Amino acid sequence: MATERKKAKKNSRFWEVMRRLRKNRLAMAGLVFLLLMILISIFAPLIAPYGYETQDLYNMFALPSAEHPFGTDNLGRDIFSRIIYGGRASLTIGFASVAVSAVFGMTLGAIAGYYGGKVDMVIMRVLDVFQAVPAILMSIAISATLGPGLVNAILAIGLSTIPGYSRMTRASFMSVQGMEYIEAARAIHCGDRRIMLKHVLPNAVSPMIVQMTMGVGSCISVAAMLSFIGLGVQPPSPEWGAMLSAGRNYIRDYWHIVLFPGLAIMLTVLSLNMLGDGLRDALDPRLKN
Amino acid sequence: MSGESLISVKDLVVEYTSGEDVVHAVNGVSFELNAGETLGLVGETGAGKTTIAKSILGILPDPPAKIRGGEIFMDGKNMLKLSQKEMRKVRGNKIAMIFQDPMTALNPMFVVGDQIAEVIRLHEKISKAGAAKKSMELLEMVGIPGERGREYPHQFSGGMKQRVVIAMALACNPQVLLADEPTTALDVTIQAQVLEMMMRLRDQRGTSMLMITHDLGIVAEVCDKVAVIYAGEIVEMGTKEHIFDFTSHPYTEGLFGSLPNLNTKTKRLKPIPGMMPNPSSLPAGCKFHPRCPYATEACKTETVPLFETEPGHLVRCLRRDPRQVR
Amino acid sequence: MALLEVQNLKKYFKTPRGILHAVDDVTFSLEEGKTLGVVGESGCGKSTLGRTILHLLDSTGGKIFFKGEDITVVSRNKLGELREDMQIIFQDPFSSLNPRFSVSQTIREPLELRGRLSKAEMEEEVDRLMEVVGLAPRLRNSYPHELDGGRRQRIGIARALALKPKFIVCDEPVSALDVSIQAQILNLMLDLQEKNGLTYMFVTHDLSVVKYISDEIAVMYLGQMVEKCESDRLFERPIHPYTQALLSAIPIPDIHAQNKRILLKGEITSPINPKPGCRFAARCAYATEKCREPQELREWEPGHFVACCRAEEVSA
Repeated sequence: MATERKKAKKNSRFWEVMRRLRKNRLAMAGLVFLLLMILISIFAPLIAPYGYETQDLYNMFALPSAEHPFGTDNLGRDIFSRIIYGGRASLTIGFASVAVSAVFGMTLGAIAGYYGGKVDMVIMRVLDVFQAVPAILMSIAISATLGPGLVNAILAIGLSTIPGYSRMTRASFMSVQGMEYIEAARAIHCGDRRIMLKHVLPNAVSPMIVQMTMGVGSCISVAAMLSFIGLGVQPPSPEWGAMLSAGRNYIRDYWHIVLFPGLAIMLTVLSLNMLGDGLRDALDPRLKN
Repeated sequence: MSGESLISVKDLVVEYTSGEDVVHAVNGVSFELNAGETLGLVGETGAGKTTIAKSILGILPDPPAKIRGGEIFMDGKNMLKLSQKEMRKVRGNKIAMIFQDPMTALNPMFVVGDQIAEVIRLHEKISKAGAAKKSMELLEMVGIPGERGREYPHQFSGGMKQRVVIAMALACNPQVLLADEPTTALDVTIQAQVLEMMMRLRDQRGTSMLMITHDLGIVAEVCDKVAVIYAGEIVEMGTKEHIFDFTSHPYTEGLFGSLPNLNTKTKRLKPIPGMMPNPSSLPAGCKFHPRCPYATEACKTETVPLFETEPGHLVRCLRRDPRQVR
Repeated sequence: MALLEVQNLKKYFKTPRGILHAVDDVTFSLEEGKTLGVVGESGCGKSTLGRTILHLLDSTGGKIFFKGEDITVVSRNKLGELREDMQIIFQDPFSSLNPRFSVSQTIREPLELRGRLSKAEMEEEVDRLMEVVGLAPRLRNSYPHELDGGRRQRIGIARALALKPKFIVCDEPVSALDVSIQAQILNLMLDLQEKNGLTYMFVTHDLSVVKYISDEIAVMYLGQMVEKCESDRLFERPIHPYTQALLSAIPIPDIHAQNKRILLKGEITSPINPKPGCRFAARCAYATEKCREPQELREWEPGHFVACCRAEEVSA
């Protein structure tokens, strides 16, 4: 029997998931690319050949060359360096806004799903109203109200995606709630808080992890969009979406100005999605072994 | 009862691969199902009963399952060698299967009458109207008013659904019916109704049946012959009388001892100690020896064959070795 | 004095199609150290009855006396005390254990919640409980998915025993298990009862199991108790037409048994907005006009209760 297999006591679940994830090549490729991007962003000053503001006025609109691997932009700045620095803003926005919406969304969803009845009714109707406005429009509205800037962009994107997390958390709380071990916990007089945190949450968290992974990608896209319309991170700070936006006037003649930031966004979002897909499979208990 | 062999299974070996483990689900099972006869396959969860039935029907999921050896003959043809297309003809026309959970066999999106008619039209050249009429007749046959064919599966109760599934299985007059725990999900009074109906139809049509069950009560009622399966092997096989009145294998004995008896007052049950061996690392020798009260040193090492203690009564136990002087 | 006395207990559920009478006017009492078997088919309210007594569901009406005290309405604190005396063992050993809790965590939790023992004492107690239910010490850190059904059910039993209860509702505790394992668990439960003087309410659909383990048996049909008497007697002389049909429907593992089977018409329906009369009447071969009136559970013979107005004719 499987019982005879000795297992590390703690974290066994984490390693179990990692073991299954390792079998998925696409997910691993996504994970490696992502880690690489994070490392590059952290060590940007060490890696970037130029500063993100350094102008080379003799070399504006330069095509990719040995000197400037991705070429230079309209102000003669090295695009390669700006992408490396830009990763800081883009990835920060991606992860931070997911954190914001996950914390608020999951809390609301958990309360709605656990207590049900009137509480559920009130929370869900409020979220319905919230969700009636498209998320993108909502983030534009919030961002326009709060004003441009990194932190405001995070808040705008994070708040606008709350309903999705709430719904998912609520649904998965409700399904776990039907299990007999929740009843068993009640029978030994477990309090609500403890039941929620110890019995329901750990068993309901898998779909949320997947959602969050995928969410980082879409948040980066939305951030890019906000910068593109001038609401996100402000120049001269580099951010991929802002770079894309700045380059749009020259797209006919100088393709490289938009190609490389576009590729950076695309590859990051793609790798996050591949990782998310892989995680979904790895976390699914029905696919054990 | 004519004694002609309809299906004969010879040395069937089936393995499942899961990760690095190889699960030995069926380990050399041989039996014959004769025309007009009902054979009961008895055993506990994981004994390999369902795998045997699925092998016969050719619906084992491959991977993870793999038939490693053996032959299954029907009408002189080895069914393991048939192409998918030929096998499709056999399924439904000659062999049909009833599963434990009737819900998985019915499509919730279509009314049941149409689902039965579809099965008929797949196997017979018949007009749409003809098939619809026949599906109504089949429903009546299993005790459901024909007009209920216009209803959806969710409008039926569990017992009714199982009746519909049985009607579907019998739609093309198969010679062999494989019934995998057909009444386990049903309440006792409903089980009684369904069993009664199955037996009536079987007797009317002369269908042979392979009855997979864990319930010795059902075996006593329905079967002519019984094969007791343990860890993918037949440990005892014979007529119903052999198994119930001349129980020979310690495992079969243990099964009877585990049952509370309704007629006599049992003071204490005599369960089989321990549990089923892990099918990916089966014990050497007799697979039952770790749980057997009579186990000797020989049982731990020797491969035990089936001994014929009486004509037609086979027992896989060294204590029944005719060479041993007792 | 009876340990548990249930009087006219009702549990209704609101459904879109009407009021579902899951438990309707059930009355019985249970002596300390005895086992009451509650049998019936799916939807008869037997599980709801157990859960309502334990306050896992709120009752709609009626009274529950435990150790002579009415516990129908209790404060949350009082409920905590009560749950030390009343526990439950579930049917499905797969869904009744938190998959993220190890064996020792699951068994320790009720002790932790009480907070009376020190950490070391708790560990000792967990070891003791595991031994009592026959779990090997090496399984301490195993997780439910690594164990088979029998062992999982043993964990569930250990968890229920942790607070040293007097009364345990056993909700189909062996239905999901194989026969050989089922017998092991049944024997364990009998041993525990003998050693600790436990009182069981044993809910099941399996009549041979219930006969084996119960002192008294109550038969339920669509939320109502239709017959109740001493276990052996019920099997010898069932009175209610439903009980008769139910008992005759059990397949007996004996090829020489002469079994006259009473086949019932139709199937059990759900007790939504039931009419006042006998709920079994629609399927009953003995039904007459009189059966449309409400039926009382009456003492047919000393200790033998039947809710059937035609008991005289039926038993003749």
